[in-house]
Amino acid sequence: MNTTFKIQQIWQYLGVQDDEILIIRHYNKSDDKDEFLVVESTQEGLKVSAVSTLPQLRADQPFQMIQQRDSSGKFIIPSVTQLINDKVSDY
Amino acid sequence: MAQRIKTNIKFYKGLDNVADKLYGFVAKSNGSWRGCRETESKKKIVFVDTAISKDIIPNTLYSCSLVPMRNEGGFIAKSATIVKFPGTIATICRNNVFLIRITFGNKEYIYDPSSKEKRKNDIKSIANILRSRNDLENAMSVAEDFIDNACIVKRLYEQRQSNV
Repeated sequence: MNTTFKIQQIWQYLGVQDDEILIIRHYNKSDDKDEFLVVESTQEGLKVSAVSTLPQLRADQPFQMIQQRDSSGKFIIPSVTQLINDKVSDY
Repeated sequence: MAQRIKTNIKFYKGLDNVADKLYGFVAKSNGSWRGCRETESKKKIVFVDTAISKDIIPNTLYSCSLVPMRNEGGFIAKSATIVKFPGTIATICRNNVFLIRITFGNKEYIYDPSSKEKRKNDIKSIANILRSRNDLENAMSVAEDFIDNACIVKRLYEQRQSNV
């Protein structure tokens, strides 16, 4: 599953609004470091930019942020399918 | 040799008023046996082998291997390993909503600095609960991640309150 599709799914799953930004923390394997994906809604669709530090957050700038670690402790982009499956399987 | 079945089950205590007797249920779904609630129809009972029963925590999901009882009335769990779910920390800061949801499996804990309830507004208590969970993967790291996020949310919430 590609990154863009996963981000779109998370955007919908969390119900992020168009005036909000979505921040996803994840581990960049090729650079061997954590980074933050900042997702914004634009006329052309979702725009994703990667930054190395958490952007400055203000109370008047609405945002949502999500993070999840895999079994090895690295931050990953959560899979919405997995979140739903986990919820159902933990009956 | 009886065929072993692998499935995830939760166990409960106190069948037929026998306090320590652990039991769970499975039902057939799409051709395979899966753990189910007591309310499910066409279910079969699962007891835990006495060799492993002392380690079982009630109402926690286990990955089990089962063998059928001789009378085919149910199954015996011969091995059981706790299923650990990854913790997801979702933070929302929007208008007057400042909160964090920590979810794993079907569990959810909420941090809300505006809440009057201690279970929702106390960072330390929530972090301690997360650290103690057997069914949360990387529980210590998730608790620390939660604290980091909660401090941000608390600061923004207080900032918003002082600007009102």
